[in-house]
Amino acid sequence: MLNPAPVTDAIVAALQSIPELAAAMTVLDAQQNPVCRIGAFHYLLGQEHRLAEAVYKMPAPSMLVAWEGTKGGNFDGQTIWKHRWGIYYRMGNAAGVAVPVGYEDLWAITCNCPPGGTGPNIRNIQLCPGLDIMDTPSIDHALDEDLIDRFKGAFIFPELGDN
Amino acid sequence: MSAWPTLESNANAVMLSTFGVPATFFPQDGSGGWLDGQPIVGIVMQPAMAEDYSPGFGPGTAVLRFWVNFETITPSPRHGDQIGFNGATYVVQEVEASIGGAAVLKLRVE
Repeated sequence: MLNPAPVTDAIVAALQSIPELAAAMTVLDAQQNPVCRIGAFHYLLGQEHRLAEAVYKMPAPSMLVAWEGTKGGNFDGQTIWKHRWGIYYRMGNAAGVAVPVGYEDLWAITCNCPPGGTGPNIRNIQLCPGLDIMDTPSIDHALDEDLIDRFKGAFIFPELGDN
Repeated sequence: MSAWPTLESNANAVMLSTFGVPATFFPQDGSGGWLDGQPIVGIVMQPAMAEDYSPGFGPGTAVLRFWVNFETITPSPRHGDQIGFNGATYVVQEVEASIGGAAVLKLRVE
């Protein structure tokens, strides 16, 4: 079975390489350097917050990718593992922005705009050796602890065989 | 009954003078721009989830609940406005105004 950790980083890299998404998630830091706020969450107690706190602390705008489980089973002749990642979205402040990028736009960009600006979109590329292209992704509305809108997408990747 | 609003306004003022901390309020101008920042005073409240750093981002708290004397701030804060506090810029995500003249501003770091 594949280790989900490097796949998490590969998903982040692919998302960061979508120009429209990177633009929506890039801000200037205190030194006025651009920072793309699409990050990975790994379960590293002592180095990372717990996932709930990491999601709670997400600044606006930002995205966070976290592995959220693997389902085992005999899905077909060559698939016994399906790995699931949560894609957490926090949109930026739309006030004073001429062309705001809302949650609808962010999801459409994620699904349709190709990494690198050309070629197939993220739904149709093989992110890692041993990993099939993803199942059709989903997204759902959620409320944060302050009852503010946020969204969480789900990417499910079947593993090719048993690596 | 008629004295109650006055009593509540006075109580709000005392609360702020006792526990208030300074911040800078950046309201929208209603046409896609921003008005000049103005100093305000508010009280930092317990957030929905405790965070493991002190206020300010990077390390710092990403989410603040900021109690203000709403009726004394012009223009009234609304979602999308910005508040500078402790070196960080927060966006007003939600305004919970009470009939007593105060409000809790739910802020998230930008």
